Amino acid sequence: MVSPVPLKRRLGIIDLGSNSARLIIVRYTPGVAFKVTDELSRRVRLGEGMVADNRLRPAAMERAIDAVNMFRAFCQANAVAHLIPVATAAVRDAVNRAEFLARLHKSTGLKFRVLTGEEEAYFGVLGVINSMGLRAGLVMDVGGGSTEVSEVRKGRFRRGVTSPLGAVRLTELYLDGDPVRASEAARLADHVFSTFKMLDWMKVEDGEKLVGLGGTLRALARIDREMRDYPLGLTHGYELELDRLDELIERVRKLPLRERLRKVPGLQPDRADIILAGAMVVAEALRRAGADRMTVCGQGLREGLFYREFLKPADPPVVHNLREFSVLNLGRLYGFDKAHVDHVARLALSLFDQLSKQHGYGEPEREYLWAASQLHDIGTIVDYYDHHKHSAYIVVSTGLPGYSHRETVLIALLGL
Amino acid sequence: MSLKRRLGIIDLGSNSVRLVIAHYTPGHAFRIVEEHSRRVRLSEGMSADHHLQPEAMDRTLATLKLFRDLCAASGVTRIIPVATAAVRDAVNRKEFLARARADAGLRFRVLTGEEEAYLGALSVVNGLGVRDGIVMEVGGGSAQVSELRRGRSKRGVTAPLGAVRLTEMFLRSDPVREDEAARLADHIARTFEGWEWMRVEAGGALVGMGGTARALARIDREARAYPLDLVNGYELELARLEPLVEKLRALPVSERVKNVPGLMADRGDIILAGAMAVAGALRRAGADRMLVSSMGVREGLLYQAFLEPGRPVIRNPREFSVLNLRRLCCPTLPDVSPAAKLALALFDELAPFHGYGKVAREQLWAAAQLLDIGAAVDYRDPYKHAAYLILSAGLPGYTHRETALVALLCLQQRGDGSPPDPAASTLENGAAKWTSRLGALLRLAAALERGRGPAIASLHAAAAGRDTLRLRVRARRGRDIRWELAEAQRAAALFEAAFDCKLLIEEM
Repeated sequence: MVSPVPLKRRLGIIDLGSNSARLIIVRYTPGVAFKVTDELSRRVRLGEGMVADNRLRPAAMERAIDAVNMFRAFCQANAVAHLIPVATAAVRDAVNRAEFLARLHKSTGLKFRVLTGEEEAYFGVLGVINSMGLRAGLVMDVGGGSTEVSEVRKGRFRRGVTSPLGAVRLTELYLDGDPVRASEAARLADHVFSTFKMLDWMKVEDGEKLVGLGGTLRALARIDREMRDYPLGLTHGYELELDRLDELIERVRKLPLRERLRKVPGLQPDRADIILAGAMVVAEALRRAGADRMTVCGQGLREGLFYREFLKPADPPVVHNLREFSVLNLGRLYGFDKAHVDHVARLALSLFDQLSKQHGYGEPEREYLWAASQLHDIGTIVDYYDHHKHSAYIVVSTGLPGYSHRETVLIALLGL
Repeated sequence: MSLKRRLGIIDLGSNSVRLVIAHYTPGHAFRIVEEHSRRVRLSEGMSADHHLQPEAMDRTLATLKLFRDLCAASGVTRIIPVATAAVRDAVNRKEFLARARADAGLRFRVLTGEEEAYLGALSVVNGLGVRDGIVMEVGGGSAQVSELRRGRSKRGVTAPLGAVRLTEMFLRSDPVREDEAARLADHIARTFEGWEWMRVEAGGALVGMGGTARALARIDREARAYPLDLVNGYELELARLEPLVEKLRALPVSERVKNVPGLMADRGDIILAGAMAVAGALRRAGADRMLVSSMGVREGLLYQAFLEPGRPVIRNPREFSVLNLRRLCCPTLPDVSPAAKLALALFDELAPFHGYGKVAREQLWAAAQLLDIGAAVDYRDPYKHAAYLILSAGLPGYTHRETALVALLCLQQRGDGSPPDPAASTLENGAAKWTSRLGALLRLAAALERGRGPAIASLHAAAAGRDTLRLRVRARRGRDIRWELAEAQRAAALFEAAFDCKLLIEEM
């Protein structure tokens, strides 16, 4: 056990969307190790009431400015000097965006960069590639005001488009009844499906993945996890099946708004009204793409912006070997003794190789063994006694981006 | 993490040699990072002429060299090697010590029996926060009993009540006959008889150290499915120990391990005598339970190195264990969390409404101070991780029940209010109200200091009508606290439910 890698820099990333304003704080040493240390989120509903005339409402602007001011104070208190503030759909589409940006700047001192739809898609995909190791497939980000769909080929962003299929927006447009009427839901589904239909490349082939990110997906994963008593607390890498999603949609549709929270465990109050529209966008995307499940990504736009800083000057900013990096990052954060764990790994792998006839395992198992060797001591940070148990707890709590949940658990168990 | 020093402590006993490696910054924080033990049986074959045998010495020296290399590889810059009984009593100790120096480069200090007792007591005083009482360690050949008064060891006595010796002398049958056990109990009682000072007064404790105490704790935990993984501070009740003694007596040695969960094979034969020695000590001291310490001479030496020379006692062990954990997990945060400061202010302001006292205040403070530590694992479920860290590392000086309460207060800060698992079951029914009230109070304080600014300068609470409470908060100069107030508003519902009143929050 040596000292953890000191994380020298602190970066705050603010993302002002149609439903919520979010801040993440990341500490990092460029190219070596990083840790997200805080995430703040405020529901500001900046896109509220915009459907009619594409104007940001005064009250909504006020809420957004308050939230940004609060984030700034938080950053100050936590010695975060460097901030990247970006705005997405609501601001992008607003006819009064110049006015809003000026007020925002005057009140908070921050100059927001308004991302184009393609940029938004691009940075979201960067977050996905660097946290899931996605080589080929589709990525979708369901927001409050818009939904971005992107195509990834050979581990690179190929293209991305944005459509006005955000959860807040669709709720306002289609879902009037309480409970929502079947006909309303059907019209919404139609609208979403036909919008996706226009993207002729929106298909996943065998072995490809459809990855979903954003608040809606995280919320759906949380609900689904509760319903099936999923044993892990991880959202990132969670697989949401279309069959289960369809059942959930039908159930939520029939519930009046005030009963949703009580009857849908895992649903959070600030999403109760828009969750149905969000779930339907996801379901129609799966149908359109011909996929039976969506892999949920816990990272996205904000992390994508972070990776660009973290990996500078690499272009594209993509972690070279994600699975290896995830393991090393965790080890570095917890101060593993590199010489020691490498020695342990060498011995373990040598045994593995010499016994290969006896056990018959292959390359994946060999990799798990390597990962477990690297991480077997990190639990010492909790307490020396039972540190193997603590190592497993840390691995399962933080997750290992690039590994599936099952693989993560296997690696944790190997160390026990 | 900037723990500056790396210390190795080697403790050479009759049966085994042990190494602990600790990282520390003097007086600030420490953590044990490694522990190793090798059975070298240094005293083997010694009984006849008090000579350490050549083979035993060779075995021991080989292990010492291994430990020395391990220290070097772990970046240890200072090693404190001490030796106890076997070396102390050996006629040829000089020869052995010279070889240890020449071959392993270790200059052993040979502890007197008194020093051994002193260091053991030091570990109890600092690691359990016990100031007065009796400390007892039942070894193989003898039992060490010392008296603790005001945090100092006042006297230490060695009695020939070792578990191996007693087993050989009294418990010859298998299974042990009732009359054999009765004779042993009698022998133990008579040995303690003359020790007038061996009493535990109110506020004191009988502390058990060493392998026998830990083994008994392990068995008792299994028997009652104890929900916590902590050993240090475990309370072994006489009323539970007595039936265990009877159960062990009636079992043939070959059946014990199978029928007594938690019992390790290498103690199957001697555990009964050890349990009886402990039971006898408890009766003699007038105590209804033994407090188990997982520490000993090595930790005593560690505390000596960690603390100021000449002042080897932590003034306030309860406060220190909270600070230590906070410093280890959040090395970049200041010692005092603004949320903790505010939680105490709120607690004091609301004293007329809750009526809780000093102890509850201290537990609230501990939880508030430790809210931040969970982020050391992961930021996404910080309060769950904080509770895990607290329950894993323990809070020396707090009882297990208190430690569970502190963890529970942290868990209660989770948004979804999901039922906390391991901690809750150690608590009796009345604790539910207590935790919901203090938990709500803590959530309010944490919300008002969510920005970690600190943001709040002062606050004032007063009744406003029959079932309404008005909380007025003053912002620090120039600080906009609208956000904090909004966060507090979100915490108000929980508070209202816990205190059964309406809560108004206003800025002064």
